[in-house]
Amino acid sequence: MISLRRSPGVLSRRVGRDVLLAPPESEDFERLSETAASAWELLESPRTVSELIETLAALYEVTPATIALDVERLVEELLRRGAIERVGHSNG
Amino acid sequence: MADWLEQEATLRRVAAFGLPGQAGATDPRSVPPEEWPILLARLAGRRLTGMAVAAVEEGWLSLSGQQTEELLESQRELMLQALAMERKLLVLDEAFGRAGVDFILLKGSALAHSVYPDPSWRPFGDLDLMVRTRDWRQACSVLERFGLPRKLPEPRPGFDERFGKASVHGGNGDVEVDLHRTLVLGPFGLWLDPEALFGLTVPLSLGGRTLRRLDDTALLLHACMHASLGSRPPLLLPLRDVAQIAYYGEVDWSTLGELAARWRLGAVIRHALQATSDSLGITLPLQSKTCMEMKVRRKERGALDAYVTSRRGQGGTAISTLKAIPGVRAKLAYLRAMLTPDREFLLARTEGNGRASYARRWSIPLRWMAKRGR
Repeated sequence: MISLRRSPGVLSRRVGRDVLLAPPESEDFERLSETAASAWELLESPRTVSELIETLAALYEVTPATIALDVERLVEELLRRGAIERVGHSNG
Repeated sequence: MADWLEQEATLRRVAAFGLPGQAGATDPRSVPPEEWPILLARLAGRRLTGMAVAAVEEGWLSLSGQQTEELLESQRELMLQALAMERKLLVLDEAFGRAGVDFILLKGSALAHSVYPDPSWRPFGDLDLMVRTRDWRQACSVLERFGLPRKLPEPRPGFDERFGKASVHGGNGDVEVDLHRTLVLGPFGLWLDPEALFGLTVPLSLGGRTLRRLDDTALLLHACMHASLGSRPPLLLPLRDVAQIAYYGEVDWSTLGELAARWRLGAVIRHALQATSDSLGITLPLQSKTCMEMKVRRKERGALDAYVTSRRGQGGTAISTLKAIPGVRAKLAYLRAMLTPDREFLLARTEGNGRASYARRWSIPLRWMAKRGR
């Protein structure tokens, strides 16, 4: 299974419920708002996308199906910006 | 005046937020709308917004929705500044590594990522890096290559390595680097052994790189120096640093006492611990008692007075530095650099206002003498 985790090279700061990111090899900063910030906090330790969706769903008391698409989009965006990375190996 | 004093009390409460050993009322304090803009400016100016945000989250400081938003905006600005500096720090770490220059990360960023519950509690306005004296020139060159030239030249060639504390480097951006070769300017900086500090470090992981910071005991030693000697009266954030390390750092208090005795820092540490306890209204951990009761030599007390009394504005630190410099030749070299620095140094000191002149320079000690005579 492939898991996701924060890229070690990303600097971050929590500001209220938001998180500010300084991704590597970029001059820009990212601002993650509440749910995205929670996802980022959770990725301090590696999780699969499914695990991330389930944990966030439990946290916000919604069904996983309700947030799945948004979380997948967020993950793609964070991967694209180098804020998170894939770890582990695919089973197959 | 009453509002001002009440605000001062609020600032102190915020600076002490979350610390154990507090006496007195802990009811949430709300802020009247007319007082808020000034209080917010003072919180930001003293870099206490991170602790204020945490205090609001805990219900310890009661703000309206609008006030909270403004506080968060102010904190966001400081955090963006901190991130920009840490980004530069990682680049410099690589560059120093390539140049074979070891450095110790001091103060802001090192404290934020070690003893505080969250780095957002501890904003900082610059990067403080300490290098060995032998690497000083090379480190200056590395900074210059990365667009961070010195802001002020040294008074005379070789002055910094002999008597200086740090040079300030900055470019057009908002990143400023203080490049240290010792921890403080003046007698205490001359009495301590900067080389020995390189043996009192621990790793610090940041942005995927491993840096070095002072271990918690040396961190407290430096925090005490910064709190006591940095400003008069001591600023709240450095005092909070002292309390934070004293409570949450892995401080070896007997080693701290030994270092203080070896480097004549007993008076400084005692003063800082007392000021922390008085200003923040807290009782420090019991183990600090041994340092609070340290015997202090007259020479140390005299040197400390040059920073913490009105002597500070009357040439006290320069005179106590002169006293602490060993040997007549070295004393003369210091005096010569102070009284007849290079023209380039004089010019930089005028900051574009007026002519560089020795007469103006010499009028400074004359003013000190006049003040002392009053």
